[in-house]
Amino acid sequence: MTEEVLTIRNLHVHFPVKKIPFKKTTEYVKAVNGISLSVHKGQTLGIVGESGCGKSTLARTIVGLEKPTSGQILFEGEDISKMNAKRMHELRRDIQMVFQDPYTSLHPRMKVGEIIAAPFKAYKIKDNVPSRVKELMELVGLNPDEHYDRLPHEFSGGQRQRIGIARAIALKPKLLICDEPVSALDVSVQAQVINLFENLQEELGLTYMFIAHDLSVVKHIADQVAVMYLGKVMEISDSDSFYRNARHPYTNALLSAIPLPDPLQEKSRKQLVLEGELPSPTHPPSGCVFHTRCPFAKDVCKQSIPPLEKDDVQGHAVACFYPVQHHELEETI
Amino acid sequence: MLEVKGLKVRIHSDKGVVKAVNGVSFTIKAGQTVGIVGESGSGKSVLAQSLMRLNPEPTTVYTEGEILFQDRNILALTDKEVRQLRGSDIAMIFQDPMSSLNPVFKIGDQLIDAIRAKQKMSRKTAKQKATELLKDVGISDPDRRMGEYPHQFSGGMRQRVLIAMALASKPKLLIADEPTTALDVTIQAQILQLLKNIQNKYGMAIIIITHDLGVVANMADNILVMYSGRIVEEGSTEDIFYRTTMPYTWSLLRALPRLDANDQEQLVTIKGNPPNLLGEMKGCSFYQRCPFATEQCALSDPVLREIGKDHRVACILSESEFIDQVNQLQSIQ
Repeated sequence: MTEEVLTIRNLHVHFPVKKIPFKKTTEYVKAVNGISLSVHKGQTLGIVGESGCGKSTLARTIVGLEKPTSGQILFEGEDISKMNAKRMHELRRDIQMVFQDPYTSLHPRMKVGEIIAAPFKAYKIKDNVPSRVKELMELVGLNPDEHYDRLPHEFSGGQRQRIGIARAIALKPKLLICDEPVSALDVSVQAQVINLFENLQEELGLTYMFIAHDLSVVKHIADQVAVMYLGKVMEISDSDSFYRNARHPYTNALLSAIPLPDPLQEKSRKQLVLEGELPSPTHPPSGCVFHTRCPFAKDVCKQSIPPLEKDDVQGHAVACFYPVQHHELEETI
Repeated sequence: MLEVKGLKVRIHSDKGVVKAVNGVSFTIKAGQTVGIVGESGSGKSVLAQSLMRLNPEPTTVYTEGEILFQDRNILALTDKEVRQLRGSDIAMIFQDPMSSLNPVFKIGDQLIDAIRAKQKMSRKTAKQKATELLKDVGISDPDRRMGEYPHQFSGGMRQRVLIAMALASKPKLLIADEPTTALDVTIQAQILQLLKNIQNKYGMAIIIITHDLGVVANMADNILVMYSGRIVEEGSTEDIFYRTTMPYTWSLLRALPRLDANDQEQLVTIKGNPPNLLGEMKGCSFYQRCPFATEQCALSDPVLREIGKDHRVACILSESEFIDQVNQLQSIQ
């Protein structure tokens, strides 16, 4: 494998909950609760999970929008939390972000040309900015002559997402964090943007951390996939083996909950429908956080926390005492 | 039971007249599930709201057509008659379960009000009925939960409450407008399962509106595919998925990132963006984005014609021509 661009070691991000004004905070929302991951150069790490699992908080912490409570985030071996403001400013060139909502992440009164030129302005780069902006626009499939002087509201969702991507890659970042970049788009446009991400990665050698709730989108784009649940990583593996050989009960439930666009397959397959809902991240369950909804939970799951360990299947790491074997799963459901 | 004949809906806005629905005809039999699929702006929600005349009225004009529900034309009813129909014979659940409930009233009170609005009964019997309904939709401990406010319910639970409310007067038709779009996949699986169960128990017809082809593959008997306010293909679920004969449906199915696909090829995209419904329309609405478009497509507007039993398509290509075109395109790629 190639070198690690980003390494996260035992990261915790907790938010205080103020119950009574002026009283000491006693409760915390444990949004990210002990995560270790690494992203390799030129690859895509997909992060999936339901809402409230902490995937967006993880992204925001990496770009420095939230402060970690404990743990380390190493970018090319350097700890982000120990950097001073000047070094942090330099670092932000290398880590850029694409946001979910293309309607709120662009300034409504700035022209497209200005939006894409903003990163150059922030880093006081003055050499032929307009021509570089036009190059970027071409790269993401916008027409520089026609679109340069327009305002964001004149564009459709897919085109706006292209503007956001052009802005994010303007300074040639080493790592691009994409937080649900296609979930607000229609199917026909979504495919265009996914292909754009793939082409840009090939051309510019970008490294992606791709956050999504849609497992089929992630399957398409990611080399490695991590599944999060209540602030913890449940399973991480190579994309191929992930979809063929998911070991964690939660991953299997997620995969079987996705409706397939194929009526015959849909009618014949057995679904593992999870009961109940996501527990509160303020009071996560004891032991394995998934035990309250897990169909295979035993006593030990309620008492001790399963570590994220390398599994015998190649490239798989699972945080579960009783990882599922595929043939067993078929029998149980 | 429900028959829509040549419906045209125009919405007057600041920017001009939006041709939201352009000559839509279809029928629904009792106990059937019909899926309406389309991207945003395809007119699917306007169509659904027309069935209950929920579109804001002076700005929305039903210029042509009829909606016959049990042989009464809904468009010709007085406001009072429509009000009686809503929530009794036809009920609707919406996409956003957060904004469909009143935040300042208890769940139980809202449910009891909904029951008593349509049926004469004492508060006490209504309360009993509410408890039963909540049990039917899978809410445990309904007596306690009726005393809670909407903010104490999660998204999936609120959608269950709304389904309970819709069931209160045993409707003959339930319109579900993107009922699971705002929910996570595991919760989506629960709600879809619930809709199937209550259909078995109460025996009503369901119209399910969605952009997710997977959802209708699982739920629907028949599917209508909408594009720019028209039905472009209509047929049984098997027809739509396995005997697709319309370029738009075909492209849409291929643009979808699929969980059951093994290849890592690029997604097939649909070029361009959905058309603007403000302007004059000439020719086939899909021809600018269609991979098989000919000159004739720009001139004449194809009518929906029958190509198999209950399978209708709006395209000038005949079945054999369409298959030829698909094979040709695939051999080039």
